[in-house]
Amino acid sequence: MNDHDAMARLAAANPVPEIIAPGSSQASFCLRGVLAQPRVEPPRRRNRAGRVVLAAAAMVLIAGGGTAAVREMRPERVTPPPGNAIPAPSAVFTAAAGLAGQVRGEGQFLHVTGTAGRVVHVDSAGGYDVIRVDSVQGVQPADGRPGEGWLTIGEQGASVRPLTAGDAAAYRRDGSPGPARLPREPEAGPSPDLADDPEFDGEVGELPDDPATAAAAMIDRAAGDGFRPADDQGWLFRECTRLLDTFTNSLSGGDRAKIFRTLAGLNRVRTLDTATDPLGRPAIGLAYTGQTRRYGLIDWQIFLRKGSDQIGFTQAVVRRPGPANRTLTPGVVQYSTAVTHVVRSNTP
Amino acid sequence: MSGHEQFTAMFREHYPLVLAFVSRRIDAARAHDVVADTFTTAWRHFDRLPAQPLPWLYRVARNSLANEMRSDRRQARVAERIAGHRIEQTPDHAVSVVADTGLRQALLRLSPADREALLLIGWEGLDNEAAATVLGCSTVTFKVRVHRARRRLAKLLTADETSAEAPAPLPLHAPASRKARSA
Repeated sequence: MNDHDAMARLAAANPVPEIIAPGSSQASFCLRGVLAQPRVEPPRRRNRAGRVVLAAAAMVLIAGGGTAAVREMRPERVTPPPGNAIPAPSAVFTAAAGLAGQVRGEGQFLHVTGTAGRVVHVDSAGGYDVIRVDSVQGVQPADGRPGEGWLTIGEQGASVRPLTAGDAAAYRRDGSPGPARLPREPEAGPSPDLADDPEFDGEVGELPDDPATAAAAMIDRAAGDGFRPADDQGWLFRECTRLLDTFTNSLSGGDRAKIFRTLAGLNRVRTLDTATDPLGRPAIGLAYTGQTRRYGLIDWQIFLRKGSDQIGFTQAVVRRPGPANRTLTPGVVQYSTAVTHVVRSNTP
Repeated sequence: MSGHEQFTAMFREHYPLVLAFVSRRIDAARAHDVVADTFTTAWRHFDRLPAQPLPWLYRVARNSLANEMRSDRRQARVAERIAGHRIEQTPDHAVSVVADTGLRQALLRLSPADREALLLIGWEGLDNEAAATVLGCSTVTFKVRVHRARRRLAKLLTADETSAEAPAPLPLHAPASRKARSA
């Protein structure tokens, strides 16, 4: 076969050989959407002095820090902490409480994007496990401002992959179902409720300032609804970190600080021996191991961005499977959430 | 003619070609999003569009496709972290939709740069200069790349045909343990 035959064979394999009609409703819809966008003004020429002033202003902003409106969480070069430098959880939470009250940047709304992954068990084809990863987008009023936010899961894309090689065979036998064909789960948020916890539905602003009294008040509130946690500390760790969740957080800085101080009062939390989160970004990991009725022994882990009060990553690691996840092996991540971008804006 | 009218005329002329280009490289569900991204970028920078905008549009579409692929890889990494092991990645959409098995295997064995060079010529029907603009290289560089890629593809297809025609090799020794079992 010569070059020309090869190219002819390639041309014959063109999967879209026909030109798609331009007058379709899809095209009109696309055109309307595009023309509704603002255009970029052509750049204006600035004189050299102007550029120097702008450069100097930029240097001042960088040196001052804390004024950038956009915070993008990119992997950075990480220096591992020296031995014996692992901070106590209470110190980490107290430091985060100090940062929580600081308002950074302009903009009334916080736009957060990221992913949520979880293991889903499918009963058909003999039963198999897949990992479902959904895009997550959330917008919340920043710094506890009044108003409602929104959260979408999977609208910007979702993917499905079998968990193990054995699962891959069953998955193929089942027709390789996509995200839309997977069994729907009742959980509304990015993190499934593995421990069957009721949500704390009180007002954080009404909780006492003293951490121990605040923790007792949260438990009393839950007990008043007919629920008494079997493990107070585990419930407080999960509820407090849920209240601080970056995708759904709508607390003011003061209320966030209060929750961090409550977390600092827990004595069964441990600091993970890592300088990064699972995406390789500088972070401090904190974990709590607790028993659940359906999912066995679970290690709940959160990763605070280094020098920040923002939770950039969470995951629940299976330590010993339970009835609802008996097909999983210890060490598998039952679910995870990753925050990739946080942007302040005045656009809701 | 106003800016809106000029852009609309440009859009009507090139939308089908850009949609076809994108549809060859990504699943239909996401193709329209990538096309919308491409023309939004074109609209935002309409003053800077060249007189023949098609290669420029293809180039923007490739960037948008690359963003989609990065997003896929991010999701794959999350899945791998959950699984605790590496998960086999699916090949490029452009390759996976090729029905000709031998050609598909040969395309998979080419480098992504060689493959894209061939697809721009073979599927999009671009000339060397336009294809070079899409890939952001000089025309001379593209000519050399596509020349080598054509030869590699022909060689791989020839090797595939040869192996398909050759009889299966006979075993050197009969299996020792295979004995007829008496009833």
